[in-house]
Amino acid sequence: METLERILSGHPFFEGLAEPYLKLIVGCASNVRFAAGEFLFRTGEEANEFFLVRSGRIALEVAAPGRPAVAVQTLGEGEILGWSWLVPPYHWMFDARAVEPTRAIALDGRCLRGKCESDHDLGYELLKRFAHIMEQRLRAARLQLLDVYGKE
Amino acid sequence: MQPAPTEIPPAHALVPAPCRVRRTLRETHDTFTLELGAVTRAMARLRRGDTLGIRGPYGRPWPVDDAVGGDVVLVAGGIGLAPLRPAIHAIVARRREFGRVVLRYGARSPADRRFRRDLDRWRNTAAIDVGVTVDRGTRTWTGRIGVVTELIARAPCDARRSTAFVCGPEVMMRFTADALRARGVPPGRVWTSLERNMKCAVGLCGRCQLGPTFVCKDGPVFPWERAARMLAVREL
Repeated sequence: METLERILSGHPFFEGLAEPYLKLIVGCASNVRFAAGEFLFRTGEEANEFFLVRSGRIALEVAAPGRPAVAVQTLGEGEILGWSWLVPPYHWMFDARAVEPTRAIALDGRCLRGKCESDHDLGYELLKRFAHIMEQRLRAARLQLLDVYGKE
Repeated sequence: MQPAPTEIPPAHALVPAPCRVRRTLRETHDTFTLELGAVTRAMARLRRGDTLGIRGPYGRPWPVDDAVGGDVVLVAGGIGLAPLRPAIHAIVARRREFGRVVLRYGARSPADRRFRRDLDRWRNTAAIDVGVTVDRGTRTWTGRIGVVTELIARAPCDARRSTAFVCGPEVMMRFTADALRARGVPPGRVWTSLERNMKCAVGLCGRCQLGPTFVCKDGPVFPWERAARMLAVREL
């Protein structure tokens, strides 16, 4: 059976992270499972964790009263979900719902926030990695907005 | 016969239109049409026994031979999958000569996905790793939502040994080329097809001219490095 340490150290997100930091992060990690249709979190709830998706698919949705939720993006195997734990006021801005049975590693963001505050080198390392994900998602969102396929 | 562009001359006095031969079956040409404009609508009205003129093939096809021995990454957006199909068929026919073959396809919505049966067939019988995404989902869609470029980072291939063939809207190809470069695919091994509006197909009329280049004659398939330079000229 793969250990959490092996899974995390083999993931591109944690590539090159110093071993002591990796051990510290493993201490904040746990395996989680979600059934199809189950919510990982909902808009407005406190954001105290992030997820590394191991299998399955999760939809990020925007809900509005009286209307069906609109899925704006899905995330699958190997992808990172959630950065609201890192940015005040630490509340989720979207709903996250498992579209199919999903396995993930949950990382305790509250625990990591504390460690980042007391060790800025760790904080900078994590922030750089999340900034990269944010840049990729922003770029993807802009391409999505362009509606490049139009009415073919 | 190499998978290359062909041109369909006037059907009922319409202007010629460039098209791709979907596949060649000995001497029978099998074409695919999607009713998008005057020519394809006229083609759709043809009856058994009517005559349709085809001349060609012209231009430069996908360099499938250059990809032999390595992995292949095919990225298509929208109806850009149609021009890629000859390359896919050529690869399927010689599947053992290539390493891993990955196809990533993006469409506007689930209803806009083209060639769904082919996608299933390539996935199930041709050992092609097929990933499909849509920019906008629906309530019943349980597949991937997001742009096609997001599927490149985790595509199962050895990027440094890969050749990429990309076709779709020009903006999509630019973002895709960036994602391929970030993944580590050598820039000189990224090929794109510029589906500009072509007419004469022999580099005379200038309809498809991009600077000194005639897309119909010199292309439509170009290395991305060259295509990017042409597309960077705003006036073109």
